[in-house]
Amino acid sequence: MSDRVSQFLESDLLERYLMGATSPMESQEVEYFVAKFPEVKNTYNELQENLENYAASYAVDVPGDLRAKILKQTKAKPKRALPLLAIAACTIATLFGLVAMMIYNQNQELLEDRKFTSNLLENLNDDIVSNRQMLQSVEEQFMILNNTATQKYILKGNNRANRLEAVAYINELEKRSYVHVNTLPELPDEQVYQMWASVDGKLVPLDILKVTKDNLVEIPYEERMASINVTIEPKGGSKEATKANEVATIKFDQEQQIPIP
Amino acid sequence: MKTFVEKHIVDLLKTGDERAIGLLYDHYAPALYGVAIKVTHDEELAQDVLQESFVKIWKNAHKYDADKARLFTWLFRVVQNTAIDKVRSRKRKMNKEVQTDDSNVYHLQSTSLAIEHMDLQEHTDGLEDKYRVVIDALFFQGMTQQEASDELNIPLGTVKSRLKIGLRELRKLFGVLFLMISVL
Repeated sequence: MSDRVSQFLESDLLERYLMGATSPMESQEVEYFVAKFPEVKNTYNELQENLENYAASYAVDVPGDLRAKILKQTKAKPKRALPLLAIAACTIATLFGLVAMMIYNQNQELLEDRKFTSNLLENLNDDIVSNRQMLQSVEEQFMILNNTATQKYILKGNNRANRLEAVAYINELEKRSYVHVNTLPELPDEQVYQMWASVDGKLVPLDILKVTKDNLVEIPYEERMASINVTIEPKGGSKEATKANEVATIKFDQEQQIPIP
Repeated sequence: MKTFVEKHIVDLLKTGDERAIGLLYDHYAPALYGVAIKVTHDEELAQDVLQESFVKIWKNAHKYDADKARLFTWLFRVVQNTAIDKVRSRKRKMNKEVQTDDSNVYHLQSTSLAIEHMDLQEHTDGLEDKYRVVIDALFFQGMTQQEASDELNIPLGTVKSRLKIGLRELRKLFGVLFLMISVL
């Protein structure tokens, strides 16, 4: 017998292992010795037999009805407990999963709502800014129109555009001019109406004329404007007016800037 | 050495065969009941312990590892632990100490030692008291070696040596018995 085995057998590890009083590490050590050394295994088996015999020496007859009770209690297979537990665990896990999914969906909906509300708010803010700008512009136009220095000129088309009707507002002091186009006869797609100002005998391009209905459109102001002319030009406008295509004109008195009838 | 019956019972337990419980009961119930009585000192409680232990044994049969312990060793531990738990639980309820070493408190008037174990009893009677009290304290009262040392008022080293020697003495005593049986 090796010293190691002797030393092990002299310790009380085996006896304590028999009692179930060893730590997990000590149990591992004992199991190693029992598995590896036949002397230890024999001693352990002897100890177990002695315990059995010692306990048996205190054996007592069991009351007769206990056997039937125990057999009745153990009727169910031991494995049944596991499926029941498994079913319970599965049910709980499923419920948990469903609740988690529900919460996730609700959260997603709330996030969507929040995004929508946030966009709405942003749009409303943009609208407010835009409305303010529009209001400011309308106020400015209103002030110009109500200004006593603002002159109103009515432009009417000749026989080539007899439905043309526009109103020009010119304020010499503020040096601003506006046009309000009521109606324009239709033109082919490749043509437009272009507005000119006659300055020092030359026609200076102002803007392309479009129906503006309720809005005034500011047009460039020219000093020493002798007249406003409207011609039909190719799409996109021309740099030089085509005099032959003139459809409307209104001349001003240079001193007072009033239309000459 | 494993008996044929022990191996058969283990096989039945492993396969969940209900016949295992009947066989276990028939072969081990008296010894296990004796253990329960020695721990609890109360027949009625010992019967509860036995009943509960058999249910545990049946439910945990898959945990039994024949390489680590003989069947009786495993059964013994289940009964021992169940009985100790019951005693502690009752102790908590009654809030008073359980007497541990006075055999006069055993309520054994109505119990009778199983006849087939009478011979063993005679042989264990041959074990000196100093060893018996240590073995009983450790195996039947669920004490640790330190607790046994405190309770029995003997040094820890003496507890350890008496346990070792006591178990060896048992080996001698049972060795004589088995020799006699084999001669007969």
